Amino acid sequence: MKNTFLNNKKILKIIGLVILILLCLFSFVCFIDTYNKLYKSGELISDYSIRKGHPTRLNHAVNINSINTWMTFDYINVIFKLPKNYLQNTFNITDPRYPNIRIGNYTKQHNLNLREFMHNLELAITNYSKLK
Amino acid sequence: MDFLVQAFIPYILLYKYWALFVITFLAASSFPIPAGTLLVASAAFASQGYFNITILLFVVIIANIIGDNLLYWLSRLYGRKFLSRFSFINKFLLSRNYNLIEKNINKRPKLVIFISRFEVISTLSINLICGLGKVEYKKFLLFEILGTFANVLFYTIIGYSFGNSWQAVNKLIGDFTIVFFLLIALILSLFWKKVITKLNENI
Repeated sequence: MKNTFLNNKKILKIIGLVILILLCLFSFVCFIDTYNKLYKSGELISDYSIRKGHPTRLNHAVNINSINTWMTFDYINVIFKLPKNYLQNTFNITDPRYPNIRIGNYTKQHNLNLREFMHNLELAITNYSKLK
Repeated sequence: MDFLVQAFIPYILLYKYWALFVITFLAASSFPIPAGTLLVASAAFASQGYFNITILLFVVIIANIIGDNLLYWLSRLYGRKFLSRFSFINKFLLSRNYNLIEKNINKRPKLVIFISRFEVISTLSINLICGLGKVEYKKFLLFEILGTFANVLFYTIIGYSFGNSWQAVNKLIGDFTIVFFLLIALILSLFWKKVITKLNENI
């Protein structure tokens, strides 16, 4: 009886170890896969490489598609080097919290269509960089 | 990562250094918030010109040191009294394995304190164990400060040098952390008996 219990315990330990080893291998493969995907898509680039002008990485500045709902207008003004009032004037923003308000919150509180607003925001930024 | 972005980064953007201070302090003193990941993001914001890197470093280092020391002293002064109210924690604190760990850390605290700064769960655990085990305060403070400097600089350099790619870097760090902890779990389960014997020999 005791021997059977010990044997069962051993078998459970071995099964546990095998699962752990498989998890390790799986997560390692995931890590390598993520690295490859990010590297190939050009998302994983150091600023040093950009400054050095690596041929495959020339177009990687702050990507306009990377604008997200958690970003504040203040942050967008800084990363795209926009004048403080440019977005305020373009979108007629009267909210007193501007520029310290999240895009997501702003569209929600003013009942705006988020997708449309984001699209217009991207256009406004592109237009500004063209004007410059 | 999405959860992190949604939960903490907007506050960092809105309240800047205040938010950084509070989040880092909470991560060092009480809550397992992945401060390293947030530091990578904040350093990236600094590289984009949103933060001043010197102020950022100063705020994060100070918040870390205050948070670590607060947890150390709270657990040193009131830890045993408070934790012994919970029977399962009390049972764990009185267990042979916990005593073994506590005695080993007490004997050689330097490296453990230094390395533990790089991961939020280990930081909280070691601060707690050092306080409960009454590790000599001078030693704790010295290696806590050194570890904090190394940890903050490590994450800041990554975030600052990858700048706009910080989200990709954080994703990689997240995946790597999973591999790392699974490996640690595997090594511990394979060599558990040897680890316990070695810890016993060290005392």
